[in-house]
Amino acid sequence: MTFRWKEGLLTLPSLGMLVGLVGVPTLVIFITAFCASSPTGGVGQGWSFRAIESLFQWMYVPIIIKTLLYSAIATLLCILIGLPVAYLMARCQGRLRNILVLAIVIPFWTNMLVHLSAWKMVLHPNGAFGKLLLYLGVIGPNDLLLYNPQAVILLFVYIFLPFAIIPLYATIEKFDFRLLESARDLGATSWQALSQVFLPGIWSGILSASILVFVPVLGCYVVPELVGDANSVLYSNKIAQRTFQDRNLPEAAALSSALLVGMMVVGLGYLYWERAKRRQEEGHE
Amino acid sequence: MLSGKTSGSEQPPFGTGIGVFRSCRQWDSHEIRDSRKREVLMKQVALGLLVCGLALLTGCQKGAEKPKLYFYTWADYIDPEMVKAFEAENDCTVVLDYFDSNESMLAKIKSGNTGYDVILPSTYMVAIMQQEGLVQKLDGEKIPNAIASIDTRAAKLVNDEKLEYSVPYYLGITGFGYNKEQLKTVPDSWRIFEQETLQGRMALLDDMRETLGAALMTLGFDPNTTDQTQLEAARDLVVQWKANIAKFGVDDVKQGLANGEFYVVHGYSGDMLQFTLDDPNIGFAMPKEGTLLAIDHFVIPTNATNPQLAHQFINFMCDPKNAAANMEFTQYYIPVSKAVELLPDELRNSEMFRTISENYANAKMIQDLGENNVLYSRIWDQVKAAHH
Amino acid sequence: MKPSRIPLLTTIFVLLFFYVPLLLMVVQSFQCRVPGMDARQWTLKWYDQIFHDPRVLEVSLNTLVIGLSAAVLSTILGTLAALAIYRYRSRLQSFHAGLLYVPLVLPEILMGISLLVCFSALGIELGRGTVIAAHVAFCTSYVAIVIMTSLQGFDYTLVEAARDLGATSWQTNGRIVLPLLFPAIAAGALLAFTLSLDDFIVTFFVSGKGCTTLPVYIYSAIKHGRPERMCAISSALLGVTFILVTVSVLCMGNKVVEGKG
Repeated sequence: MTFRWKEGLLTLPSLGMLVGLVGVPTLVIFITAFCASSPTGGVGQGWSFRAIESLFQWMYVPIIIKTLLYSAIATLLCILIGLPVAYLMARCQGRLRNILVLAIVIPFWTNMLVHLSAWKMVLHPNGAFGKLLLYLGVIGPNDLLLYNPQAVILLFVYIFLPFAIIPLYATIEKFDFRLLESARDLGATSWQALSQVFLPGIWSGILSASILVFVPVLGCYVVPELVGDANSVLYSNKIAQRTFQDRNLPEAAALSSALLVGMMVVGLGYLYWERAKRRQEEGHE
Repeated sequence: MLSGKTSGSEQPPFGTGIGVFRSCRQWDSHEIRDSRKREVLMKQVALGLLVCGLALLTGCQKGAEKPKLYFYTWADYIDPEMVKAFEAENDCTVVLDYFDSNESMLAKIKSGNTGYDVILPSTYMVAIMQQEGLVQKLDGEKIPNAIASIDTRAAKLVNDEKLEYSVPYYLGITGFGYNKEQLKTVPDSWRIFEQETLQGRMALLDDMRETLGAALMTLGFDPNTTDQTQLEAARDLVVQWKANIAKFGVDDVKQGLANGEFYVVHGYSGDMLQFTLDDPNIGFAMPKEGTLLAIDHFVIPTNATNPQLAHQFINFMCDPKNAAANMEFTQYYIPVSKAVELLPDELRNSEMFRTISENYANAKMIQDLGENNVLYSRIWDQVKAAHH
Repeated sequence: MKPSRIPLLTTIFVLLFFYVPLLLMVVQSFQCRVPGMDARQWTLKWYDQIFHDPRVLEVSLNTLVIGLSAAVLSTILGTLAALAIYRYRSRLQSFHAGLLYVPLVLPEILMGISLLVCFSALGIELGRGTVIAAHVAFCTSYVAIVIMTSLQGFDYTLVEAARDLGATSWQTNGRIVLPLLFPAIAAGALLAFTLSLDDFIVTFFVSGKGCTTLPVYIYSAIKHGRPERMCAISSALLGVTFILVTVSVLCMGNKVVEGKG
C-alpha cells in the first residue's frame, strides 16, 4: 500500500496541474466544436454539428498534405543539423560545454518577430547575400529570396533547432562512449559504429527531438504568415483565420480537435507498434 | 564501473545564472563539507531571490494610492507625452495594455472581468460591442471637447451623430503605397495588381474584407454586398491578382515598401505616411474606383472600473492641442479641424493628408454583416485555395 | 575513434546561423533613415526613446518575472512528472504521460481562449498569476520530455547499488538521481524559460490589465510601431542577458577551478 502512496505523492503535483490547466481546456475545445457559432464571435445558442461537418471539405486535403510535408522536412533538417552540434556539446567538458549550451539557447530569448524581421534583412534582395547569389547566377535580378516555401522551411528550422538540439544533447550526454570504442576495437568502420551503435543508443533522444519539432511546427502560424508566399496557407493559418477573420470559434475548435485526434491516433499507433515489436522480440528469445 | 559513472556525474553543472539551480549542487557531498563554498552558494541563491523579489515589487507597488485608468489600445498609437500630461493634470496613473487585432480584443472583453476603462476598437467592432452590450453610453456633458470639436461628418459616417456610444478618433483609408523609382506613372487603379511587370513585387492585405472590398469596388459593386454572383466575380479578380503578388501580407509588409522589397503595397494611410515623409521615393495613391475608410474609436466598456476618469481621458485627447500632438506622433488623421491647423506645415500640407481630409466623407466603410460574414469567409477560403 | 570534423564545423555553422541575424538587428537598432534621402545614418534616438519610456522597462521586467517563475515551477513539476512516469508503470502513468503530450498539439490560440474561458468561469482574476499558470501548463511538457529522454539512457544499476548499501529512496533521489539528471534538468529549464519569453498568444488571452509582456507589446506594435524601436528594445535586452550570463559563467568557472584545487 505504501508503494501506491509514494506513487501518488510523486505524480500528484504535475498530474493535478495537467488535468486543471491542460485537460479541462482541451475538453472545453472539444465541447466548443459542437456549439453553434455566433456572428459576433464566441459561441452561439444551442448545439450544432455544422462545425464538424465543415471539416469535410476537399479544400483541406492539400493544406494537410502541405502542412505535414513542411513539418517533416523541417524536422528532418533539424535532426540532421542538431545531431553533430549536440554531439559536440556532450563531448565538451566543463565551462566550454556550459558556454555552448547557453550560446545555443540565448539567441532565442529574443522575440520571434524580431528574429523574423532580422531574417528579412539577411534575405533582402539588395542585401549582401542576395547580391552574392545574383552574382553566382543562382537567382535572377527580380527574384525574391523571401516569400517562398523554402524561406518558410528555413525559418522553421531556425526557430525550432534549439528544440531539437536540447533533447539530443540530454541523451547523448548519457550515452556511454566506451561502447563506440569497443565497437571500433572489434573492427567496425566508423560508419558502422555510428549507424549500429550510436544512433540506436540515442534513439529515444531522436524521437523526442522529432516530436518537439514536428508537432509545434504544425501549430506555428506566424512563420508562413510573415515569410510565406500567397499560397503558403498551412493548417495553423486556417485555425488563425477561423478565429480572427471569420470569428467562427466552433470551426476553429473543430480544426483543433481534429488535429488533436489525429495526433492521438498516431501516438497510440506508435505505442501499439512498439509493444507488438517488443512482444515479438521476447517471443524470439 | 560505479566509480567511473559517479566521477562522470561530477562534471560541473553549467552556470545558468539562475541562482535556484545552483542549489542543486549541494547534493554534491564534497560541497556540503566545504562550508565556505556553501556560504557562497547560499549568498548567490539569496541574491537571486532578492532580485526576483525586487522585480516583483517594482511591478506591483507603484501608484497604489493614485487612481488608475486602464487603457486598452494598439501599441505606439498614442503620444506618450500626452499620456504623461494627462497623468500630471489629473494626478492619476494610466496603465496601457495592448491588443493586436479587434477580434482578439473582443474575445477577451467578452470573457467579462477585464475591467478596462477605455478601449480603442475599429468601427465595425464598435458596432459588435454595442450589439453585445459591452460598451456603455457616453455622458455628453463630460466630454465637451469631443462634442465641440469632432467633425460631424465623421460622426455621421459611423451613424453616431451625437457621440452616444463612441468618439471616432484616428481615421485612415486603404490605398497603396508605391515606389516612385520603379513606377514611372502614379498608379490610380486597383488594377495595378494585374500588371505583370511588377510580378512578385506587390503585396495585398491578408484581410478578407479589405481585399475583397477592393476587388468589389474595382468591379463597381458595393464593398458590403451579399450578392453571391458579385462576390464570385470579386473572387475571380482577386485570384487573378494573386498570381502577381508576392504574398497576402499582414501589417508588417508595409516595411517591405520602405526597404525596397516591394514596389506596390496595399495598406493604411497613416502607416504609409510615415514612409512618404521619410523617403521621397515612396508615394501613396488613392485608387479611383474608391477606397475603404477605417476609423478607430474611443469607447468605455460597460464594466469599466473608473468611468469618470475615462470620460476625462477621452475629453483630454479631443482637445485640439492634444489631438494635434497625437496626429503628429501617429500620422493618422483625426477629425478635429482645429487640431489640423496646429500641425506643422510639412504634415498638414502633405498631399495625402489633404486628400484624406477633403475626401473621407465620401469613402465607403466596412460594415459588419452578421450572419452573412460567412459568405465572405467561404469566398476567401476559395481565394486562398486557388492555384495557377 | 578518429575525431571527425563534422561536429565542430556544423556547430560553427549553426552559431553563425543563429548570430548573424541578431547582429544585423543590433546594427539596425543604431540606424535611422536620413529624412528626404535614400540613406541611413547612425543614431542613438531609438535607445533614447526607450530609456525615456518607463513602460518599456515595466513590460520587460514583467516578462522576466513571468519567465523565471514559469521556468522554476515547470522545472520542478516536469522533473517530478518524468520521475513518476519513469519509475512506475501503471494506467495512471500512461494517462499522465499522454496528457503531457497534449500541450504540444493544442494550437496556442485555442489553448489561450479556452484557458480564458476556464479562468473567468471560475471567477479567477486575470493577472500575472494566471499568465504564470498558463506558461507552466505548456513548459512542463517540454521539461518532462527532455528529462524522460535522459532517463532512458539512465544507468539504473547505480540506484540499485545505493539501495543495497542502505540508502533511503529520498537519499537515492537526492544524491544520485538528481545530480546525474542535472544536465537534462538544466537544459529543460532553459527551454522552458525560452518558451515563456517568446509566448505571445496564450499570454495575450490570460493576462490581466496592467500585465502586458514584451511579446504582446511587440506583436501589437507591428500595426503602428516603428521596427527600429523593437530592434533597440531587443538589442538592449540581449546585451543585458549577455552581460549577466558572462558574469555568471566566469564565476562558475572560478568555482570549478577552486573545486579541483
